[in-house]
Amino acid sequence: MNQPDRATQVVFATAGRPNVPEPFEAEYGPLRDSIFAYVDANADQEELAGGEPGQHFEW
Amino acid sequence: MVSQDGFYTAATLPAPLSVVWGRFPYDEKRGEPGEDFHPCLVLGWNEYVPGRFSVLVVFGTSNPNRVEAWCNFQVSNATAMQFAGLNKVTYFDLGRWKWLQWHSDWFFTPDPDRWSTPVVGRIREDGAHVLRYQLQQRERRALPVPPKPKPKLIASSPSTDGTPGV
Repeated sequence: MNQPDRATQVVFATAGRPNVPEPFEAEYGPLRDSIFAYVDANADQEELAGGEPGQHFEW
Repeated sequence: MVSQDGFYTAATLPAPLSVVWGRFPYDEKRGEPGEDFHPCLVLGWNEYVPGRFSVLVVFGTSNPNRVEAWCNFQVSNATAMQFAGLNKVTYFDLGRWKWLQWHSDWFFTPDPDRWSTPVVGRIREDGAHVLRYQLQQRERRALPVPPKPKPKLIASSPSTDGTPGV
């Protein structure tokens, strides 16, 4: 009764998307095989998997 | 935060379930070097040599081609995306993981004024439950899964009867 117009006004931070800053707008595309080939060639998996364990996600 | 040789310091190590930004060559076959950026989900880290750290990551993409949604971890809830620092719905391919040096060659902060390290966000606790379930489901179906954490070695202590400690 006699209530003012209470039409809901929805305000999104950035046109409906999370308010994440500009650098994250960059497209990140498919996971190319070239990525993994490069990693295998430049990051010794055996060496990096060794050593002293730190924190790990338990599952 | 970064040592002279490009390694990030121990103080910057990402906790498990952090989202970090990784960079990779766009395509080595192309003449012009470029970079391909991907958010990476951190599952753990090691000190692979004293003072040098490696992180175990799975790779994220906003392009779901080749990433089967049912068995991979998806961040699509708006709040979860904001918490994770992701602007787009992102699929983390649980079948593809790598160990990478915690080094500026591999990881970067897209906005040094805002983030001093490559860590831009984190998976929420409810997401952690989903991730754990999906990893267990993959394992049951004999799909590739990232390695489980190795048990920490417990420092041996000398026994009192003179036999070597365990």
